[in-house]
Amino acid sequence: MLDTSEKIETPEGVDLEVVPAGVIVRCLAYLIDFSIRAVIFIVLAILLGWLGDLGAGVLSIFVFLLEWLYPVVFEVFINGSTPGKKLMKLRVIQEDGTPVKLSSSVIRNLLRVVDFLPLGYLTGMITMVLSGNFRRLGDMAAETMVVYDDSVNIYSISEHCQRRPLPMPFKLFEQQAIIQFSQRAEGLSEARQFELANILSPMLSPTTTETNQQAVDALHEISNELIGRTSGEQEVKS
Amino acid sequence: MNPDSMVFVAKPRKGYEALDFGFIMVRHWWKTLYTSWLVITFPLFLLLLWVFDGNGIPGLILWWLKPLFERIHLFILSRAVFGECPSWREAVSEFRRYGRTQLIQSLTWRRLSPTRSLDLAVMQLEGLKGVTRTQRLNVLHRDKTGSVASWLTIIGIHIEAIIEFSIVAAIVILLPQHMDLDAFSALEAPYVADSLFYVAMTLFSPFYVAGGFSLYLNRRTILEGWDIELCFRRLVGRVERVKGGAVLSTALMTVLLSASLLFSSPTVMAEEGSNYTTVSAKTDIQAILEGGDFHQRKTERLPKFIADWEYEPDTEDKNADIDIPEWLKELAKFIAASIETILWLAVIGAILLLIYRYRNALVSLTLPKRQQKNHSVPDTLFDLEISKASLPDDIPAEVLALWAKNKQREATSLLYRGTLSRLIHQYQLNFKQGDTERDCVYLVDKHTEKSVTHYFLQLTAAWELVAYGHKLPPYEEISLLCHTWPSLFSEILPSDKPVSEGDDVNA
Repeated sequence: MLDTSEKIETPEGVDLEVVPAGVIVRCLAYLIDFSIRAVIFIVLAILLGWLGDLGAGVLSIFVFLLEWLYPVVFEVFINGSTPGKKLMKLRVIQEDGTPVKLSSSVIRNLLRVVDFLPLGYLTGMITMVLSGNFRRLGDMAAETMVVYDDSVNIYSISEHCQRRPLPMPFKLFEQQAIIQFSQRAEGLSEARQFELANILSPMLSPTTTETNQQAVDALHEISNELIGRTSGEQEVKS
Repeated sequence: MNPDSMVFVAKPRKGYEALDFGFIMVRHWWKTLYTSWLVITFPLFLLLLWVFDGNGIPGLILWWLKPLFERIHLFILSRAVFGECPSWREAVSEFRRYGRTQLIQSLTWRRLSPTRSLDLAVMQLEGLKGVTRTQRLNVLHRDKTGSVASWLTIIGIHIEAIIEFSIVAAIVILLPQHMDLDAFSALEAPYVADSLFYVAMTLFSPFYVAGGFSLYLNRRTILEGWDIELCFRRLVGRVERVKGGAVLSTALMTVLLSASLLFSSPTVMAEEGSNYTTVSAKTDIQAILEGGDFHQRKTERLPKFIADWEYEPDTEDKNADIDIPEWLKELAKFIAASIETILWLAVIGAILLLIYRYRNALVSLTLPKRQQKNHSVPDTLFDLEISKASLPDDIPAEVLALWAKNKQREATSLLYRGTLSRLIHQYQLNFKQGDTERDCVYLVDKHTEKSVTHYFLQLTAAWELVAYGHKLPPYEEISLLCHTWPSLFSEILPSDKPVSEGDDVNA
């Protein structure tokens, strides 16, 4: 099965799911960072321009620091994201899911030179596409990867607040599917809601034939049971 | 569409993640995608080159026809994701059919639409046109999908440009020194620009189409709950299977499977018998070592890097700086001097810091080994007071006296503590604060002669019996230990020993 997410197994045997970030979104993040650096550079150049040769010297020191320290400082001290990555909701982590280390961040940013070759990060883009989880050479050397920071979808909860016990034991992903249905129902067309609910309807109430709306409501009620919602929460919502 | 046949994990993905899924699709089906594309476009490219003599127009025409060729990729991907990836032959022979629909619109007013990659699916797969198409697109573009598609186009244009310039740059970088190539005039040579353009377009087009298509798939997954449907259907299927006595059949399957595994155990291949003896092998080895394989001479020439931009300090420019006021120059000099001083101070500081950081290592390099270990002597071991001051002078006598007073526990403890103390001070053993009784036995065994070890082992056993077992050792044993004590340990320690300050504290 093709999928974007990747599982990292922790020493405790728990699977963490991360979603490696691809070429386009990282290009955008880079462009944002690049613009920020460019603005700082221009301002510094104007200010230091008054100092002649001294200014040029100081400016080149600043350019050096901007180019090499900017990503490292942000990645190590601000939760793995430069401002560009933050805006695109990306984050650098170690391969094993831990926060990025100083040495890894330095390695992956020093190797930008290689990824840049021959022009405009072509090497980096090619290795990102070829490596399974969108890692450029710098990432491979530093054992890091860039992942999406938030992969939790937040939906509104349905208006129904009755609860109904599960008719039989469901597996975890089946429970999740019912909750997903209840939470995403608003985004589905009515006909589609009926269609989906009717798949389960004969199983949930084999004796009676339910109307479409009853079938949908049944799923909402089971979902409420699963997420542990009490009827008192309706007032909070309204 | 049947969710059961999907070969990808359908789930709601956020904007750019959906785009990344497109790249993963290309990784998976790149052979078919590129083959079909090349079979259709490469002959056309050659034809155009021949007709227009490679003056830039072929590139322009190909660029303009891109929406037409992109349908090849979409045709393949749209079937591949549902598990029936067509062969390139199918894709090529069907091209006449799917290439024709709404071709005029695609190549005229829709040509410059930034969301082309996403919209293509609505036209080609759903076959919508007119108002319904517009409405459908409005729905699909919501939730930022439209803007993601636009960014795909914008970044895509740049990636194509990067590919083109990178190829030129790579050639320029790799050219030998003496070959002078002006990259810009080379680009103007016939065929070069067209070819570069065709290569870049070929390389990136599948990613562009797949990106748009995966946005489309994602949108439909969200709008129609494909993942939910799939899960529901599987749930129903599972429940029916459980009801239908499927349990029995799976058990049977397992038995059969394990049986088949048993029978197919790997056969060990007998190794070919070698007819070498030690002597013959040696002569053979000698012959090989002397032969040409180990003595090949080869002359290699390495290119030497000649810098063609020797640094020349431009002397003329010295006074060219427009009149900077004298005070500013002084200020600059002052700043420069202070920065220099600060830098030197930092260097000195760093060296001192390093020395301080590794002072222990340095000390251990210079001093003889015995002196370093003269560090702290613990006052207590497993919460027992063992400093010299806490012990009486004549330990065995005191022990026997305590035993007589029915304080057997205290007596054993005193004997044990006294022994530990003597081991530390007389035999120079390095017990550490955290050592256990067993650690002590180990250390004693390592550093003292047999008789002491034997004595200490006996005593430890007696002590452990009292301390942890809450049982009394026989009087004979303790008395024996007390009587052998003086033969092993000196009565009173010589007081000139360099002992820890712990004594004063406890005194």
